[in-house]
Amino acid sequence: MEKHKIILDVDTGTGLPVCDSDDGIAIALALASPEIELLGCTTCGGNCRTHQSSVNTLRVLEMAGRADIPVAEGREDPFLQDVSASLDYLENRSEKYRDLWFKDMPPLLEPTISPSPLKAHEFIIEMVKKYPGEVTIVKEGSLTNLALALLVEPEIAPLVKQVIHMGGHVGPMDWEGGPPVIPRHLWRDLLRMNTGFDPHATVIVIRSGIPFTFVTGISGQTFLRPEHVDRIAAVGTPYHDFLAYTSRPWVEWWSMKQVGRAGACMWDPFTLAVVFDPTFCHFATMRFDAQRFLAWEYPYLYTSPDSPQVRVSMEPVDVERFEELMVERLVSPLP
Amino acid sequence: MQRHKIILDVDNALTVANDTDDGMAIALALNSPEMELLGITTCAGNCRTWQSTENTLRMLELAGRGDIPVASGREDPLLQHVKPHFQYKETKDARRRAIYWAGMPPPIEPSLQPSPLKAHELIIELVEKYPGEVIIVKEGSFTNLALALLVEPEIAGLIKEVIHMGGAFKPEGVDPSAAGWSTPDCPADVWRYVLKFNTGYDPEASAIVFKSGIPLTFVTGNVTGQVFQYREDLERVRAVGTPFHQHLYEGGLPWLEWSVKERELVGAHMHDPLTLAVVIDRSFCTFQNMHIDVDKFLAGEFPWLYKSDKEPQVSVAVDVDKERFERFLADRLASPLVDYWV
Repeated sequence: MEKHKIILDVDTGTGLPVCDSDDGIAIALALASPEIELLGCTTCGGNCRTHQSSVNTLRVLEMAGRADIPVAEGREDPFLQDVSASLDYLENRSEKYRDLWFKDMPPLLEPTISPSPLKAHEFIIEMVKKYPGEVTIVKEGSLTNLALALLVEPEIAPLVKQVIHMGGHVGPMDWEGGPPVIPRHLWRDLLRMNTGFDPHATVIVIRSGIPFTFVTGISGQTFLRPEHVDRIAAVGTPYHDFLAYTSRPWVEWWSMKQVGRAGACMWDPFTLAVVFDPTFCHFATMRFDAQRFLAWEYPYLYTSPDSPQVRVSMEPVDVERFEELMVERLVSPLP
Repeated sequence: MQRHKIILDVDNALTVANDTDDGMAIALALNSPEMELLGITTCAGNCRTWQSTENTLRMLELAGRGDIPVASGREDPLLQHVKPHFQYKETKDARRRAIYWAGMPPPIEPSLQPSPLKAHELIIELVEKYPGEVIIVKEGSFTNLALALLVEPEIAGLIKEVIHMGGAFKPEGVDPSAAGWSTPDCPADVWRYVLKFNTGYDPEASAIVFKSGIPLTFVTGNVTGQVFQYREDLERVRAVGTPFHQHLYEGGLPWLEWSVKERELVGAHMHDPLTLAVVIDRSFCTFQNMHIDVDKFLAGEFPWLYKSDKEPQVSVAVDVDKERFERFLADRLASPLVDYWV
């Protein structure tokens, strides 16, 4: 079977109180998927600070017994955008609910494996040159690391197979429609997480001409539900226990009780899955309007013959089939 | 004598039918014992990056200074904005070359090679080698320095100062963005781009440097536009007689003649040499502290440079001792090159 060589760029919050754990599940899904050859992880900011992403990512890999997978830390800050307001909010929220979060959790492993000596952008350049035309970069966070790689080494642009990015928004934006538990003035920043975390980096990547796919918020129609967490917990290995107990509060306390969802949105794992099975949803081709995007004007993704053209996920989403595949893989023993 | 360690970043168009002031600035640097020229990085602006590199290597070869590294930078601005000025410029350059450069012999092919390092890598290497000592003189866009800061954010605290040829402030009654700033050869809407030159060529790169905390000095267009090189200055250069000086003359004269005939100026603009000269003698200009309004700057609104206590702050040249500087530059360029570094 042809394996997809991927670099997973993540803002892994798994292990931090009230921090999105879907990146961690995406890593676990990658490790459990025979179609995927995980060349390495690069870390960025978003759900938490970059250096925290690195620790959380190393922990997942160490618990999975996969110290062989390099983790290369990226830039802390976006090129120009000031993200301190949303990062401060996330950190304060994390501190506020720390005790509640860890109430039923055993102490988390301090990773003993080290990150790569390479910076994220150096790792990307190295891998893309080593496997020209083969590497899919799955951007589950901001586009900072890839943009920096392209600025330093523009010749890699034609060598990258494609970018699959969790983010983007089609059509007009409803700024008022967010969950009441999140402050209105920050909802805008958090909504634009990933794509809008470093908007200049996003523009640099899309203008480079690399085939680009937005897997938008429709990926959040898929959930990790309490019954799924139970199935993972039932496996009984330390790794599966870890996946279960770090996910449970995010699934049950935050996503269901506080936000009112059916479970934890699986944006990142879904984004990963369309690499090897693009039939989990549909796709359309649209224009990315960089000028409107940088000015925060919606829509910035729409049908038009003008460049640059990008691939964008469309409904309907095959929720049941994806969730079943994800959980089956998460409960299986590690290869 | 304490020598100022500098890195010169240039869009050197000497010989390619465009602005000669970067070339003159390099010549000034080579002939100034107060400066230690650690390296030259090249960018686009007056010409393409590869042309800037070739022109610079040629000058160094003629000057016998192959020891100075020349590192090529990025061609495009970070976000690859489409710029009208290159399309406009290259047509005009070709016409200008046919008329004014016709009488000059073709310049030599340089055999010196550029550094294997990219511009941003050379900047990082030199700043780390001489922490707190390096002055970066940005005679072109901020692209190379911004990229260095993105790759290695810690160097921001190690750079002594950035002196930049660019910016424009709003003295009483004069709005630099007004349509009035047009010249016989250049329509107003292209001038608006040219006025934002250097600083506006790669606005995101400029903003990254503005926000970096590095001490900033602008030698603005308001001030550099007042100083010139005259025909008699170039005749003195030619009289020195060395191949290097002959090259300066052959590259400089056509641009000067074009400036006089078609731009109706009194000589060739010397923006970059003045910017470099303030390293040697700050008193060539009078400076005032101003605030850079980065948001307005990125939105393309004037004025974005004005008096205020807010950060970031920049030291802005508001006046120039025109005669003293013009004499100083003419004297230095007309001197034989002395090997101060032996």
